[in-house]
Amino acid sequence: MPTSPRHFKDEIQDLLDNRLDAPMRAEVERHLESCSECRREFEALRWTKLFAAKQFAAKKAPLELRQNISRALKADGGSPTTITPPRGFQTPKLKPILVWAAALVALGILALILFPKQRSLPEVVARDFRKYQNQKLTLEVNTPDVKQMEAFFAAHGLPFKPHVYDLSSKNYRLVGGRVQYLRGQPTEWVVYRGPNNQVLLCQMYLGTVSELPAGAMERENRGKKFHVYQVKGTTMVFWQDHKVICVLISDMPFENVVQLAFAKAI
Amino acid sequence: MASSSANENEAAAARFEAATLPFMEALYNQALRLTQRREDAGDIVQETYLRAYRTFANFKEGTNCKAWLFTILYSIFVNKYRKEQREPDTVSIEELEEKFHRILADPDWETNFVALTRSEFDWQEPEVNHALAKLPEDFRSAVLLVDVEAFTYEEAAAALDCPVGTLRSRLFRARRILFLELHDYARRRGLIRRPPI
Repeated sequence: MPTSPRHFKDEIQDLLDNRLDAPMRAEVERHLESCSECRREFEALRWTKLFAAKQFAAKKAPLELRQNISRALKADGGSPTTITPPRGFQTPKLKPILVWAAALVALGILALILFPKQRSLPEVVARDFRKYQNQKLTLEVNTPDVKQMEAFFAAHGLPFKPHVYDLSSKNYRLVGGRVQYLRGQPTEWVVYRGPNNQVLLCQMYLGTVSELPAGAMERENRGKKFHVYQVKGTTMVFWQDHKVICVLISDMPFENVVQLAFAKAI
Repeated sequence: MASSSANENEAAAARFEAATLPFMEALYNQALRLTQRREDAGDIVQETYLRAYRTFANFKEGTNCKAWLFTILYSIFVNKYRKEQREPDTVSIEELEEKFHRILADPDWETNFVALTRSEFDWQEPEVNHALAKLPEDFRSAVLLVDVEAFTYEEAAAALDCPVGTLRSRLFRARRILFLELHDYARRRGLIRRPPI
């Protein structure tokens, strides 16, 4: 008598919340490839999770709330007891200086929090690339199959028709991808590995090159304009493809990235 | 002497504010989603800060300040506000699974799912908030902490003062209920044309 296949329930939730060890993760992912029932469940729950993260994220609190809190803390009288440095820790002469220094540092931190440095778009793109290299950003799908990768993006509601480059003729094999948010907007984020295992990333998002900051090196190839940035050794080549911006990102030699962009942009 | 004591207090207050104020909006959002009343949400957050300020001694530097603040917020909410809330009716897990899998088994699933995930669809905020409000509060909290605030199961369980297994089970049900509510809303808006079997 045939036995019914084992479906995953808890494991799907654990996969979704990144709580599986590597062997179990691989087993569940293999199962999802062949079991449409579990795959649908996973897709539905992943979408729900992403939807919640986007739709229910914190919005601006009322302006007066911060003032009310500060006022309430002052009215509470005094300070939180034990964070005051113990008596005798500083000499009487140094004490006021250290207190003022601490206050200045705290104010500095507060200022950084209240007015954080706005990273430029290429800086954010480069930061995400480094995160992947430092294994702080993982792929949602691992596949060498371009069509499968495109189907993944199609199922995740990108605001443009997904397109994944086949770079095999250039000796870059597809590794996988993820939906990566850039300034709150979902983007197609695809990773390739080169002949010497170098990482090449291709990111696509809805936008126009006019939104890019000044300071790009402008290159032109067959009438198409390319905007090249370098941030801490990472090269990024941006170009416009209809309504979509494409970016190739890598820490390979500068000209290699540019030439790849020239080849793929045609 | 008095002036140096005042300076110390100011510096300590500045340290407290620097450590905690970055989480004010997340705390307010959480309180608002729980109480669904702006005034109550503001009051809970203010009280959270006061209590945190008085007990800053309990907070160990280098540990998760955000999780600590959320733990305080939940404790205030549970003790002062929970009783006033009217809880939505809960469905049994069997009923929930049956509904959920009936939708997944729909022959039009692929088409419907692509339509559902289309990012240009204009999800109306009141409807979306209503879908979240349909979750029982324990379930809603699990979604808000894990999916919105990116807490680990352990951090969320600590904030909600429940075992990790309970948190996992609440999350399991919560996401299914939320999906069903959103699916139902999309169907009513005509995004998904064919009603589920």
